[in-house]
Amino acid sequence: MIPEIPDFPLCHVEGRNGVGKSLALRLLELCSGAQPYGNAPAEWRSLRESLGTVVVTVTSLSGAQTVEWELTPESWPERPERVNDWLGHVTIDGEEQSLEQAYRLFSFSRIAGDETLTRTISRQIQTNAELMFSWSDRLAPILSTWDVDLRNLSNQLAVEAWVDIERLPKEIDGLKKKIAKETKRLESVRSRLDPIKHALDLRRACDEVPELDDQLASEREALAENERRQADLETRRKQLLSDAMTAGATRDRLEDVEALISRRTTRVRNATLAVTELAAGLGAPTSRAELDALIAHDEARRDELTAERARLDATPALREVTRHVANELAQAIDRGLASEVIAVVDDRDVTVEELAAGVDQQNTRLAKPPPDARTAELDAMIRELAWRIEALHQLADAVQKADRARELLEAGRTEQRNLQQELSADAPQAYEELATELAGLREAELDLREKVQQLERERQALAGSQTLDQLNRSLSEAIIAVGLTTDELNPHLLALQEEDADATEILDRLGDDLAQTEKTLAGARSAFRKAIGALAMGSHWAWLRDALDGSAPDPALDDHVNLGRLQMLAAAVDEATERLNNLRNGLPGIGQQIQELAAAIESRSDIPGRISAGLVHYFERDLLAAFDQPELRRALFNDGRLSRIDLEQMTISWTATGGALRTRPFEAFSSGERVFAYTRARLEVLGSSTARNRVVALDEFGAYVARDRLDELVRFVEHRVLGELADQVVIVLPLARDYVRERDQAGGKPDTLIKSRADAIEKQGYFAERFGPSE
Amino acid sequence: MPQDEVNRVRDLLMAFAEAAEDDSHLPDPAVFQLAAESERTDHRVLAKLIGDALSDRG
Repeated sequence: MIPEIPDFPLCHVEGRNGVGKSLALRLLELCSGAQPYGNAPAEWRSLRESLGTVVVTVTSLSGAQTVEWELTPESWPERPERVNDWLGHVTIDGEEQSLEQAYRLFSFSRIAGDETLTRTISRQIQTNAELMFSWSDRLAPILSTWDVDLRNLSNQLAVEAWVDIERLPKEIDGLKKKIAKETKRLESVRSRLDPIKHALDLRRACDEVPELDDQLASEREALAENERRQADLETRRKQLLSDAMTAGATRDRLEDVEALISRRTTRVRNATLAVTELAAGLGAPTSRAELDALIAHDEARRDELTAERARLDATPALREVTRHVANELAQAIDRGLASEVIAVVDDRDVTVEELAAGVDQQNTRLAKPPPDARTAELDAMIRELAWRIEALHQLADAVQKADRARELLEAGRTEQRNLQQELSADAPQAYEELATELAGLREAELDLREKVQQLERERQALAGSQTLDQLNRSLSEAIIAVGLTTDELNPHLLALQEEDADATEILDRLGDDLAQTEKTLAGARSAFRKAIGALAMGSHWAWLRDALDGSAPDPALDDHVNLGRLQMLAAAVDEATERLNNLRNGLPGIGQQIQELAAAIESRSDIPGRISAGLVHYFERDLLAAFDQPELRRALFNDGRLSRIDLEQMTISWTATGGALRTRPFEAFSSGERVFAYTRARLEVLGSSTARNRVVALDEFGAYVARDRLDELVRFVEHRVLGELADQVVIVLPLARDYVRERDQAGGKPDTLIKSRADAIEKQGYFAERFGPSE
Repeated sequence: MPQDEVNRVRDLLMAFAEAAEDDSHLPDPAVFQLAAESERTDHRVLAKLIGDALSDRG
């Protein structure tokens, strides 16, 4: 890059290709706030990557001594965006200042001599393409964040999951109807089954009662015999006592002890029977240690289930809290505190009265029975466990009683043995034998009585108090009632029992399905209400509630209404997502079309059919406004009134001062006088700059040199530009001659100017000097 | 935020939609303007888009 441009008012810079003349000019444009790479993104990227930090210093200013820019390409954006603070740092007379302050002090403009009207138009359009790409990049992170937010919202809504809330109640109704139908079928089967069973029971009774009656008679006979023998032994015992006993008190006492032992034997027997029956009913052990362990186990299980129930449905616990709080709030209102603020919820003050009303409302809701099937199941299990634990405690008490009865019986026997020792001679031995035989008879009596009772119960269960004749008559009536023969009873019973089992199985299955479906529905409702709650009250969704303005989901509303609101909201979220996606995809797409339009203009090709007609018309209007400037109208259109720029035809139309409509192709402005006029017009446009120090560079004007138009240009610059439109004009040219060879060929007497130029070129590749008459 | 750039892009989007028969998939100039003027954490744009969609559905 050329290191210096001197402050000659009209400065001539000439140098080799590639020495960095244009680069220096472009950096000065950047310092001045212009973006010369607006339609050359590839060049921009290359510059950004390879430039490195550059310091640009401007001196001999009006209004300051020095303005210095430190350009920092590492902080430049990837695309050639409008110049901003990312450019670097600027100091004015050593003090750091803003870019805007530097702009007020210094402006630099570059006018390219090779820029035709067509190229100007193409570049202006391309700048818009870059604008679209730049904004696409700029908005990408923000659109991405919003896309994630909308997806999170969509997941929260999860409308597909809530369809169960509408579908499952219908399924439950269907199941209940099926259950009702099967129940009716089962009742019908049992209504036919029961009379057949009754007839069969009567037949069995008729078969078995005679044998039972015989057994009863036999046992009663045995019992009577036992009683006779006991009476006999009792007489002998009393006689023995009378003969052997000397002390009346001991005899009386022995009598008492006998009676006591008899009673205690009965008690032990009854207590043992009670323990056996209770244990059999519970399927429980009869040892105290095992019972205690079983009770502890069942109590622990009950506590577990109770805790699970509390977790699923906090209603009972909540009711406790709301009752207590309602009571306290009522007292506060009585004390005159109704309108005092007692809480702050989502930045809103809540008064005592408002909170009391809210708690009352919730209390009413909590009074409704919970619909949860799992909760009902847990309640049933807890009740059953409670009953079982109670029964186990009763069994433990019965075991304790039986143990105590055995202890007392043993105590009685011990006393009996002690008293027997007071009998005289061999009486104790004889008494002992008698007492043992009596005890045996008593035990046998108890067995016989039990047997008789059992037989009586069996007979009662089979036939009630009916005699055999009565049973036979009942059987005849029952068979007539069912309309079958005796032989047909069993087959019909089997068939009906099979149908009963089938209907029962179906009912069980339906019952399980119903319970499962109710459980699923309860779960779905619970999750649904939780989601509604989060949307209605969660701080994360406050912005959404503001947008919904009254149509947000609300826990106080019916599930059906809330589901409708969620569905509408989900559809709105989908639409919002689509609009953001349209923006994200559309910006670069439109940028691409604009770029293609610019390329078509530049290459003078037909505009591709896919380019939006709207864009083409937009740029036609935009370019018309850009060209509708007095200087350009004067220079290019003889002060005519511009009417149309046609990008398809690549023509400009205007109405001449005489009223005639003129149309010329863009190319017409690229040759002869028109080119020069265009350049002059662009120079004149520069007059709008308000900077205190204005520099203009005329670059790529080699064609003027080739056509001997340079003098004319220089005269124009001297007379019309310097002082009026710019404080310095730099004309940048490619090497017009081989100054080095000319110097060398001149031998010892080269032209001073040629030598000076040749020496400069040899040293730094270019020369910069004042434009003078020697040109 | 350079307002003139925002205005220009918005005008380009409007011009693009001018000649389109179906603009349902095209970028909305109003949405662009809102996005250009918003911060990443500003949910007012999302709120407006959702609110507009709900209004369209009545």
